Order: sequence, then structure tokens, then C-alpha cells
Amino acid sequence: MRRSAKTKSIDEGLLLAYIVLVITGLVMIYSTSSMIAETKFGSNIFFLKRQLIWTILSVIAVYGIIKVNLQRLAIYSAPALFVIILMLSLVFLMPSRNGSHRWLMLGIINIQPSELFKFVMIVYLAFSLSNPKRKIEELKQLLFPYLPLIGIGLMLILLEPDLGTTIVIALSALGILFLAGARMKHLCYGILPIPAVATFVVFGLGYKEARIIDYVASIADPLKGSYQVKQAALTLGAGGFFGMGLGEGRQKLFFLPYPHTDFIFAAIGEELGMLGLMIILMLFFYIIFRGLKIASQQPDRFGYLLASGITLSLFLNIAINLGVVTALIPVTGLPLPFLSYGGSSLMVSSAAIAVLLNLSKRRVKT
Amino acid sequence: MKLKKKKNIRLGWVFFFVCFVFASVLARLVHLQIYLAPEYRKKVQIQAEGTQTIQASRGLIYDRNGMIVANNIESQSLSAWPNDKQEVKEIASFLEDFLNLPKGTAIKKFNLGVHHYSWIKRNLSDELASEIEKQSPKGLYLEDGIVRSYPFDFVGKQIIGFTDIDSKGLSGFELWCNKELAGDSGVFAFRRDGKRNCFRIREQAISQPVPGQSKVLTIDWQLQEILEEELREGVIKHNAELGMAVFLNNRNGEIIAMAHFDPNEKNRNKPQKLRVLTDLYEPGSVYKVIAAAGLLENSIMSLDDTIYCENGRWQMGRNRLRDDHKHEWLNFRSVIELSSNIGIGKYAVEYGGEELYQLSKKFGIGTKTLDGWPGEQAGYISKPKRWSDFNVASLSIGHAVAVNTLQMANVMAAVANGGTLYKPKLILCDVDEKGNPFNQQRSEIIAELMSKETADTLKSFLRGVVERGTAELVNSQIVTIAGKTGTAQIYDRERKRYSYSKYMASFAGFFPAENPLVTGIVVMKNPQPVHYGGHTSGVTFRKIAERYTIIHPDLFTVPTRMIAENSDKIKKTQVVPNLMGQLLASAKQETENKMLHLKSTADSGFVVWQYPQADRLIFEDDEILVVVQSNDEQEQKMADLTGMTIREASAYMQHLNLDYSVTGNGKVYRQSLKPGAIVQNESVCKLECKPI
Repeated sequence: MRRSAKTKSIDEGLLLAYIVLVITGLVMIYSTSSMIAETKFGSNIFFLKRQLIWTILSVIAVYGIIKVNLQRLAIYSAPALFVIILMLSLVFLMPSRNGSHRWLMLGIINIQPSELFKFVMIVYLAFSLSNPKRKIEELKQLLFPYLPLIGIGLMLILLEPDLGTTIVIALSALGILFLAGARMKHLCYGILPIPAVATFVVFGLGYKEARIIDYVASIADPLKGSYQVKQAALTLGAGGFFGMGLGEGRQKLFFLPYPHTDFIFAAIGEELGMLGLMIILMLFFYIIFRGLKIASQQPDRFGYLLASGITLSLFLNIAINLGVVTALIPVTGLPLPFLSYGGSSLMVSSAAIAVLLNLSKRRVKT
Repeated sequence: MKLKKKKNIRLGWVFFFVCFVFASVLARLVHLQIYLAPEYRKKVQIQAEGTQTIQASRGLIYDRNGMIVANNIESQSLSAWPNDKQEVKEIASFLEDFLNLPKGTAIKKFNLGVHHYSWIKRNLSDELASEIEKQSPKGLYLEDGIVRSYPFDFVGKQIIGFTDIDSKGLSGFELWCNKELAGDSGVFAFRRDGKRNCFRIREQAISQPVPGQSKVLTIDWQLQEILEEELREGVIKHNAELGMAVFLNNRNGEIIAMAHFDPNEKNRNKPQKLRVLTDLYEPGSVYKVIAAAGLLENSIMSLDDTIYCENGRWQMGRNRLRDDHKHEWLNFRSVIELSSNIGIGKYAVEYGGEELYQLSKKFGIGTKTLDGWPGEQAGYISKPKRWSDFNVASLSIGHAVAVNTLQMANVMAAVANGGTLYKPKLILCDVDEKGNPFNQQRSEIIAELMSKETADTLKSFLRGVVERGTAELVNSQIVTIAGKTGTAQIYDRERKRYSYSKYMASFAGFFPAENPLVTGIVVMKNPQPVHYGGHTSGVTFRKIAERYTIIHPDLFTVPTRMIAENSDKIKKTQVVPNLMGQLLASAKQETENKMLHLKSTADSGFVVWQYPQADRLIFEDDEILVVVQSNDEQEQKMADLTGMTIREASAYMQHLNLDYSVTGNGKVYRQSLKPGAIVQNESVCKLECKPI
């Protein structure tokens, strides 16, 4: 019963959207970071140069990932996950940056093991869940080995502390399990404790309590929120529909924090206006849409789970960043895929696109 | 198949969630970027952009002869705007060292804080500024500014007024004309970042400052100084509580000089009221000129008529009118010359209260003189519902009416010039940047009040007041003065009746009597023990009139060009040194040090007299006249006056307390008491003068 035919071509629309976003990212990183780079490092292209190098490396990686046989590589995902958990423990030995231990500094390059964990975990879950022997409907099989393995990783990332990435990974894992066909009842066991634990962590231990209080006040009136929320909202508002024009933003001059990384979406909003942001939102939406479409067209369970998992984590990353910048959810530091300055983020986001492109070659027409 | 279906359903749920999230973000963008955009954009502009004003240079003030009396000088001010805590600390320790403050006090004293702007010291001296420039830490700034300077110190300061540290008018002319003097400040736009670094967006200012308009006053500063000096002397001599005086050109209403002197006013270095405009008083008998003008103009009586003056006491029902001296029958001329309250009162009743009231209004009583002058009081006349004889008589002698000093001077000026009431004028013209006058203010006639005949008759009466009436002490050898005395009881607010011991003594008059040029008034409050206007204010009036006449300034011309727009180019003033008792040689040395010249009556000896007296202000290059005698002489000997001006010679005569007379004009060429003659008190010296 062969209703479908294999297509050999990659998803060109997806590739184009990716390229447009990365180039936009480079332009906006220069626009938003040049003043800070000049002040801090004496060169206005300090950040642009680095991002360019990472872009080239990412393009090479994309090219490589498109070529490989993912199913064969996925076999190594389980041991790789152990290595990454080891790396996650090692970050605590590193000196802290901005009050957190997120980076593993290996001489010339600094990598964030949490980003690697997110990526490899998805591959592992796709690989493991596509095993025909696994009976995902049974609670026992669902809990072991996924809960300890992912749980440890998440604990370590939460302790860094990096709440944003923890949430993205946890939700991605739950999403994959949901898409793999786990019973809703079982998933609820996993979801229900989260609000309880979160409430305890926030108000019991006081972890980021101030941010939560700021948040509640800021949903209705962003100006009542914390400095970051307030400045982000002002930055977006100042842009209006048409924006101030490229390079004309005023908020990036030390008013808006992290204008080239976490809050680049707001900075773009000031310079290019709502018009520019709508185009970017369309590109993001298109990428997610294509990712889910590719997933639905996969001939096997592995491809389906991998494509949908990757898409989901990419989406969660985007959604949480946009939520923070538009003052819809509490502030958690998370870069915006493709656009924010940062090597690890670009590399992992590119890898995600590369995996989707790779899988797009295996599409079957239904 | 079932699995496939379930798979697509779950993917569908995910897709639905994705759509929901994107829709939420889009909705929020609409909220922030469209709905809230105008408000947020303004807020961003406020936090990211700023403007800095550029001070416009303030208009200068000249006196009528083109001398600068209010000038601008550049100065620097020190301000702090630290960027971080380190800078705050450095600035604080620098200031503590530099200003010798105790440790740890500077932060509080100067309100230093990160990103906080505060003034440290305004208007530094040049040396201090350059010293600070050399060694000041980051975050301290020297800013250029302009401060006002007044070359004549306190002379005329009541008129000019004060400015605050930002050169904004606080009082006097500086406040009255602030808008024109201030000009328009310019604006520089700048952008700042979140760390408070500022940078200019454009090279050019958004708007350039427009310099303020320079103004020429009608005041003559030399005459102003004379007036202030004589007023001060008179007030002190007669133990008065307050003296006020105004002199104006009665042919056009230009105010020549005006001032008050309050011996209890300790601090002259703060804004003062110009009390000749802001203080009201009951004018008393001086006011009789209004009634007299009305009576004469309307021929209420013939000049030969006499009226019974009730022997000093006129009972009108419950009220009584008194005269200081008892008179029986007087003609109208004598009523005025001897200032009979009863005489003028009786005529006024005949004239009518309403008529007198209306006439007073026409003379400008109750109307402000200088429109908008800060704090000027218009004065008032009480108007009863029904005019009783006593009410009318009271008004005619200047009771139940309040005037300011300038108003009263202007009333007299209208009599002096033959009946024309001019609007008093303080601004002569404007001056452009090159020093050329323009926009000359025309004299404004308010009303024609009487015929020339009436005015001439009244003037002859007023001359009589000085020649043989209540103001005999005002009669001068040098200039013919006419005028009217006033000795008004001061209303005692506590006892609610007129005081029998406190008087407002005044004399208003004009000179030369035959062809009046200058009209003035001197008012003293509560002089003791002599309280008569003719004996107190009148004498001060005479002295001022004499000195004015001697100097004979070009009162009535507008200078064609101001002396200079720059303070460097005008003559500096110097304080006259006290040379009395010094050897001629050392006196010469001292005057030369001050860039002044010395003129002596002999070649050696000790200085026994000098003119001008010590502590007066004169210009550099001016001459000080000294009389010297050898030290072994006990008696005062007559000096050689040949070549002296009348002014100098008459000052010397007053010093010797000698009676003297002057014939001719110009400089002394002959004197009746020969040089070297021993001076006796009863001797009289005749001086003959001729123009050189």
C-alpha cells in the first residue's frame, strides 16, 4: 500500500526564511550593539565580527547536518546525553558571568551545555520513543528512563540558574511525549506539580520573587514593571507602526538592557516599527508551520518525533522570548533564535533548521 | 491508521497553540505600538533628549548722557554632575580641600549624587576659575555665564533694581523692563544615553539667543548722585524717618532723578522698593496748588478780594480747621504764600467738592504714572456720598487724599510749564548694538489743565511763597526758586486721628522761577525737632536746585551716540580719597595713584579743604580741588579762588560758612576778600565771574 512518493528536495522556503532571519539578525546586531561595543571594547564591530564568525560556522554545520543520516547518528544520543550532563556539572566550576554559571569556557570558545542538552535530548527522545518495543501508554515505561535522565539535566540547568532554558526543555520534553502518544492522564501527572513547585520555589525560597511581583503589575501597565520590562515596552512603543528608521533607535543607548541579545526584538521594534516586527513574526510562524508540516509528512515515527520536537523547542524559545519582551510573561533571560547575538544560540537554532531541512528530504506526499 | 489519526490530531493541537501564541504577541504589539505609542514615544523622548538654554546677553542700561549704569560681565560658575560613586567621592574630597571644609561635609552641603546636577559656586573670580580648571576632578564643570555689574554701585540702584543670579530682573527697572532687557534665550538640543552621557545632535543651536534690548534712561546719573547725597544729608540733619525726592524736566515729563533715603535701611544690597512710587502719603498744603489752579481758572474770586481767616480756628459743626499762624483778613495771594488752610478751605467750599474732586483726578491723582512699575501705588481720593464743607476744605488742603511722590512732582510740573500735564517718562530711547539711539520715546501729554494766565498767576504766588512766605529759607542766591511747602499731620492709625507731633514735611517747586526747567519735590517723614516743610525739605530742595544750576547739565538733549557699548571703553569711576590734613606732595601722590588730577591754591602746605569731598564717586581724569595752608597758621585764610568754577567756589564758601554772592557766569576772576585775608564770620565775599 504505497500511497506516497519520496521527494529528494529540501524545503527551500524554510531555508530562505532561515537565511533572511540570520541576515536580519546580523544587521540588527550591528545597529544595536555598535554603541555598546564602542564604549566597552573600543570597536563598534566587536559583536558583529564575532557573530559573523559564528554565522559562518553555523552555515558549515547546517551543510553538514543536511548531509548526514540522522537515524544512524541518533544511536549515539544516549551516551552523548551522559557526556552533556557531565558538562552541565562542570559549569559550576567555572567563574560566574552575570551571576550565573551557564558557560563552559574552553579557551577560545565558550559553549552553553544547556543548549546542547536541549538539542541532544530531543534527538534522544525521538530515537528512544520510536523504538517499536516501547509502550508509551504505560506509566512505568514513561517514567523510566526519561524522568531520571531528563530530570537530572533539568535540575542542573535550573541550578545554574537558567529558568528560561529549563522551561523550554521541560515543555519540549512534555510536548514530544504528548506527540508520541502518551496518555493525557499521565502527562497531567507531570504538569500538575509544576505550578505547585514553582509557587514554592518563587514564594517559599524567594527565587525571583521580585520579578514575579513586577510581572503581575506590568501586564496591564508595563511602565509599572521592573526597569527592564518598562524600557522594553517603551522601546516598542516609541517605534510605533513605522519605526524610527534603521539605526535611529535611542533606547539602545544604555536605556534598554541587552538590546543586542535578549531584548533585540524590542530594539528592532523601535527602529523598524510594528511593520518590521510583523514581517519577522511571519518568518517565525512560517518556520514553525513548515517544521510541523515536515513532521506530519515523515514516513516514520523517528522522523515525525524528531521534526516535531525540534520545531516545538524552537517555537518555545521564540514564544518565551517574545512573551518577555512584550511584557506578557515574567522576565527570563532567553535569546531570540536567529536574531539575538550569541554563538551557542545561533549554532543550536541553525542545527535545528538543518535537522528540519534534512528531514524535509524524506517527506512523503500524503 | 488509528495511530496516524491520533498523531495528526495532536499535531493539530500543537499548531493551534502556536497560532494562539503568535496571535497574542501580535495583539500585544498592537497595544504597545499603536495604542500606547504616542505616550511612550513622548516618554522616550523625555528620557533620551534634552534641551539646554543659551543665555541671551541682557540689554545694557544707560543714563541720559550715555554712561553705562548696568553692564554685563562674563563669569564662570562651578557645577557638579558626577557619573558614578567614584566621581562623587573625588569631587567631594577635592571640594573639601579646595574650600577648606571639614572632611565628609561636602556631599551633604552640595547635594552631590550620581547623575545629580548641582551648583557648587556661582560667579567665581577669574583666578579661582583658572585654578579649578587646572586641577579639578572628573564630573566638575566650569560653565560660562553672564552677571550684571553696576559701575555706580548704589547710586540710582533703587531705580535700576536688581537681577538674580540668572540675570533675571528682581526689582526696579530690571524687573519693569525685564522682558525687553532679557531678550530670548537660545536652545541647544542634545541627546543623552542611559548613562547620562550627553552629546549634541547638531552643530547649530535650534534657536540662537536674541540679545536683550539696551535702554537709555531719562535719569542723569550725576544729578541722581547729587540728589541722593543731599537727601541723605537732609534726612540725617533733620532726624527724619524717611526722605523721598523726585526731580523732573517739567517741559516734557522726563524724570531726571529720584530716590528715597531711609536711615534705618541697613542692607542696601538687596532688592528695594522704589518708594517714591510705592509709598503713599497725604500731601498736605502742597496740594493747595490744585485747588488754587481750579479757583483761579474758574474766577471764583478776584485777586483783590480778601477773605476772613477766622484767626486760626474755623469751627464747622463738630469739625474744626486750624492755621499754624493766626490770620484775620487775607487776599488770595497771601492765602497761598502764608499757606492759610482756612482761607483756601473757604474758597474751596465756594468752588465745590465734586469740582475739586474731578480736577484732582485730572491732575493725575489716583492714576499710576509708570505703567506696570512693580508695586507702584496709584493713590486715592476719598469721595464722600455728600460733600460737606469740611470734606471739601479737607481735600483742598491735601487731607483725605493719598499720593505718591512722583504724582505730586508731576502736579507741580504742570503748573511750572503753564498748564500741561505730561506723562512722567523714564525711558528716553533704545540703543542698537552699535550704540546708536533709536525708538525715541515721545513725550505724552495727558491733559491741558489751565490757561497760561492762570499758571502765570499761580507761579507768581509760588515765587512769593519763597520770597516772603512759608519757604523763605528756600530762597537762593544762585537760582530763583518757586514752590509750595507742605507740613501735613501724619495719620496715627492706632489712635485713629491725626498726630500732633508727627508731620510729613515737603516742598515742591521749580526753577528758574521765571522760565521753569526743572520741577522737583522733597518729602521728609517726621523730621525732628523742626517739622516745617520750608525748613527741612525746602532747604534740601534748595541745595539740590543750586547744585543742579551750577552744573548746568545738558538736561534736555538726547545724546547722538552712547559713549560705548563696552565697559572697557567708558571711564571708570573712582572714590574721592580723603586728603584733609595731608601734605600737598602726598596728596598729589594719592590722587595720581587713583588716576585723578589735583588742583591746588598754593604750591605747598597742608590740605585744609577739598572738593569734591571724600567718598564721592567721580570719573578718572577728573580734578580734585584742594585749598592748602602752611601748618603754622591758626586762622583760616581766604584762598585764591581765581579760575575756580562757581560750583567749586560756592562749595568753598559753604565750607567757610561765609555769605557770598556771585555775579556773571563761568569762572571766578575777581574776589572781594583777597587771597590770604583772615576769614571772619561776618565777612561777605563777592565773586565776579566771566566765561573763559
